[in-house]
Amino acid sequence: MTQADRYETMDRDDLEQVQVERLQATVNRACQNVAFYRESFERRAIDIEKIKSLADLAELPFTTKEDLRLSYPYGMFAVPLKDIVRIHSTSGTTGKPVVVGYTANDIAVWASLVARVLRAADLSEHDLVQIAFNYNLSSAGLGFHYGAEKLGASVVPSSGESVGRQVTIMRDYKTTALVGTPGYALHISGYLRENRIHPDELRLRAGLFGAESWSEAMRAEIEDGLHLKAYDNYGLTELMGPGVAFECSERKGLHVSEDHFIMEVIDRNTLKPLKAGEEGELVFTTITKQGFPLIRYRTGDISSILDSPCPCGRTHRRMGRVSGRIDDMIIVDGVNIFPSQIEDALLKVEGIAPHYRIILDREEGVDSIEVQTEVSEDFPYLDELGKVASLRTRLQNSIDETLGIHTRVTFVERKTIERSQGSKLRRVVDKRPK
Amino acid sequence: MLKARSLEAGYGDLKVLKGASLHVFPGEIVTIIGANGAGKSTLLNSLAGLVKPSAGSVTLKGEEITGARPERILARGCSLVPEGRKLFAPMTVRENLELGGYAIRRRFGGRRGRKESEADIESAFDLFPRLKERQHQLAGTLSGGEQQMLAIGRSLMSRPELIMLDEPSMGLAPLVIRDIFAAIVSLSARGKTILVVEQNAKAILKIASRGYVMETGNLVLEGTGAELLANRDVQRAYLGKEYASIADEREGT
Repeated sequence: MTQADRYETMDRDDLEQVQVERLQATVNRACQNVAFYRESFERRAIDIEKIKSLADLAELPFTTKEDLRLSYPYGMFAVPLKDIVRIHSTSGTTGKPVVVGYTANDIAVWASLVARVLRAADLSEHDLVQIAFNYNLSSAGLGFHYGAEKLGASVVPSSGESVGRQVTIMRDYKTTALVGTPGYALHISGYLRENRIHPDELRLRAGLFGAESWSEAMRAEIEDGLHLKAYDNYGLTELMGPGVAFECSERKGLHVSEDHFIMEVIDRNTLKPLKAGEEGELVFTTITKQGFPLIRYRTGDISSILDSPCPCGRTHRRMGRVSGRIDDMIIVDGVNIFPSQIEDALLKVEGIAPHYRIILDREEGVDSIEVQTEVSEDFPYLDELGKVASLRTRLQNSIDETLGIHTRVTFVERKTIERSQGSKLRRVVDKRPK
Repeated sequence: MLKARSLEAGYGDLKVLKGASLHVFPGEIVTIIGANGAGKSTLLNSLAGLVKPSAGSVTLKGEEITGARPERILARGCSLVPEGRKLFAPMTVRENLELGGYAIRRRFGGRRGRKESEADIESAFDLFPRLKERQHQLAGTLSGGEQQMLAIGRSLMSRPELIMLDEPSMGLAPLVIRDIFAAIVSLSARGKTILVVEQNAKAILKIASRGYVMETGNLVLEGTGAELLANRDVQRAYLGKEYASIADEREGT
């Protein structure tokens, strides 16, 4: 077992006790201090004293992103602003941003939870952690920074430095762990290749990637390009930031820090909680946050609960890797498609770069889906039309087979598709008339 | 060690506990702080079996003890040092301790029982040498601090694993409080698990592994001693800090 703390390995009975206590305290405080919750419970005639077990949580209403937007900026804070020591916010690309406040205690808890993420990746005070998330309003950069410091690692806040600078730092400072988006990790790996830097010239041994969903194929690609062990982690600024769930060395699902968050997966149509193993929308309740508690927050992320015991010794249940988001789920002629499925198909074909864009359009009432991608640097026959055409056919078949619908594949110039750097990337362009 | 889930209790129509849940792990010092009338003593009394809970459940070392009689809970290893000590004033210090050793004498019987009980008295004297000096004095003539020591000593005589203390510092001078809290720490060092209700939030949070904040029948906050000491709500409500001094502290650091 890798240095899991006492709460991570407590038996399920004790954990449930802790969860119920903290849930009751959270519901009490939310009801007392947040008008939104008080009014919402009153309107539904909910008696919070009836919350006696985890199952009773299902009696409480959901909190949606829309609720948070309507509360802009401070409506959901549960403490006076003078007790808030930090403010982060979501990007607001899909609407008004969500503003999240942290008390000094929230920051301390957050750091200890991120330290868990790093420890589970076998990192310690002996590691040099390079954080290539932008240090800004979003929670990723500073969240990882405080956690890595809490762990006692040496932290390099390389933030939004150019890829060249990142690699120089990595090589000269002897970085052992890279933290960032998976897309950016691929970008770095591409840079190494172009500049003929062998990954073994670096000392990287672990990579912690998150903030966007990524496939197993992409993981293999990153590990191959950077010679490190890549770990997935999960978090949302609304809930806290990084540190909600993370992979241990088994890398079979992400342990949810259940002593601080209660996980549910609900059916997206009936909104009823689903059993372990069933895929649906992830819903989280924060049970220790003071500044910004959330009750049954619908994340929009799609996953499932894995409740089999993990050989690592942690008793906290795992969630499956996020297979997509409800809001980037594409419905093409009634078929649900996630960009990650297309990414999987892409990576199965040799000679294709793992960068892509999906263009949706409608011609004569029929939806069309176009996948734009780049031919990889490794593909030497770019000037031979026949070879490129057969590559396209193989790719087309791979995608169509995965999705079960017909797509059109087009190649674009190398490096014309936007690379992610420190922030989320929108890979889907929907041109269909609304 | 101890788990209470959604405990409700009251006196007549008055509901004092409105669904309190708490736990104490083996070896912990856990405290419950809160204002007068929040329900702290009622909570302890219902854990000890002195007040019957109207709803909820309590388990001690995994065994259900909800609504069990006090002597059964005591026999299962959980003793209570009640608020206001509740000593037998006209009896000597030693006699008070011997009374506490009744269960142990009965368990072992005869000479063996007397011997075991005597060893327990010696161990209480070891913890509180003052009690040894005054063993033949009447309990009623002891100072407040000595009476509290005797009450704790007596509670040890049944060899509890979990000791619950109700307001042990009440009515004591600051220096004496320090002695009592030092005794709590050394009980913990001797392997006892401690649950203590206290008004003196600052002092108890300094020695507690964890604490709960109780407000009007509910536990509204849980955290480590250090977390609660740093919590602004706790500072304002229970540590007697004024808004201005919190602001000063913030600027000063």
